[in-house]
Amino acid sequence: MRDHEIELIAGLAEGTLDDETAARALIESSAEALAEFQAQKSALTALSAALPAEMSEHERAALRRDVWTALGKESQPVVGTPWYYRLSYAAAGLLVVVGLVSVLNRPGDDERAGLSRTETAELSADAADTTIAQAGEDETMRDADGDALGGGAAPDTTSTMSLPPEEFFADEAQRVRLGQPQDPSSSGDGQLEEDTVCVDTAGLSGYRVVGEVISDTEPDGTAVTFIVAVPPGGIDDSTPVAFVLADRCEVATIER
Amino acid sequence: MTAAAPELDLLRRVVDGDHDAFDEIMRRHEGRVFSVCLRIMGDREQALDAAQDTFLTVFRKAHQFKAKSAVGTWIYRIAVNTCYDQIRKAKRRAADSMPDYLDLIDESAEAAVDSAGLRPDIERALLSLPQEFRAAIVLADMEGISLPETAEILGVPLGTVKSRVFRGRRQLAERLGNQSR
Repeated sequence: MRDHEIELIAGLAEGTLDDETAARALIESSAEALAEFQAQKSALTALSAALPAEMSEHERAALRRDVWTALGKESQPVVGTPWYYRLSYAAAGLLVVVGLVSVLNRPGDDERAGLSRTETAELSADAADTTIAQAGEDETMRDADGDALGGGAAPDTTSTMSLPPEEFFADEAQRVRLGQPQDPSSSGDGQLEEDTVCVDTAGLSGYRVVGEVISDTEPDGTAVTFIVAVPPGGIDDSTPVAFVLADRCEVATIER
Repeated sequence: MTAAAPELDLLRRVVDGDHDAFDEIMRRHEGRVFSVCLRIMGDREQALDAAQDTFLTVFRKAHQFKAKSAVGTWIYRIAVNTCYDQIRKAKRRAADSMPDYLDLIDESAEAAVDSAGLRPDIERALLSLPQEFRAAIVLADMEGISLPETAEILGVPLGTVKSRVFRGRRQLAERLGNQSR
């Protein structure tokens, strides 16, 4: 059957036709058309028996609570480490240095006494620098409330941040190639310009921004925003799709 | 002021940081967003998760809305895509833990079909449809959204959504017929 005949039959089943003459003639003249009408009618009758899918008040409250909780974590301001925290680290480091110096200068120990005053001063200076640097790095270990996120060594700030699994990028790239709306609205003009600059900064000059995606929200409320960009020209099955970290303007990956 | 405000104004106020405006948008659309997600996913917990993610995306992307469609249409498009994403992730998890998942799917199937407000056989048949057909039927036949708006929500031409609705109904009827034998 042709599309317009199916549409006519569906309209008859829905009861939405202004004039049912043509549709009725069709189903009376064709077994196939009659079967189509019965199938459409049967499905519509079954679906009409559905109860309204309403949220309970408990579910509604839970939804509101969870949304606002997640938004609250996103908008929580980052509070710097109080100055006295940094001072305390430096003070502790100096105490260690003083103690070390006193031990090294203890009379009667030939090895330690072999250190010249210059060498001792250099050692002290290095220790102090390391301690103050440690204090600076340790700032990043504290959250907005000033609570330490965990003991141990200062984080390696040059290490690669945790990225979503490969499937995330593969799936999003496929959506771009299929022209599916991964980002329901295109970027506003101002945002588009910012994103283009960021992509350019990442070393992908000429790439065209097609939107942004946000990775899954982590339990701690963080999520990573990626700018999605493609080379100039049309998009087809073989188009490479680049994902640029929006906050760093660095390429996370290019899906080929 | 907020209760009667046009939705485009509300969204602009959301961009400006007006939480009351976002609360009003949620109030106006949370019911239908949940209903759509529940019909597509067949599970209340998953539908609530999808609804939550939907509104978080609305909040984060409000500044990118260009008014090419109604705000509601945009929101429901986000909802459908969010459901698709969650279904895709669930399939990946299932593929990663196949033996355990096969046990779980049998145990949870009955619970799922009872939670969406449909007769179990109808719910089962609906969930067995390809997700594109299922989404089209949920929007057009169950939520009463016009075919042109359904096409806009799904991001496909009108002819495509008509085809999905009609073929989806046919498949639904076939599966209901097979279940009754």
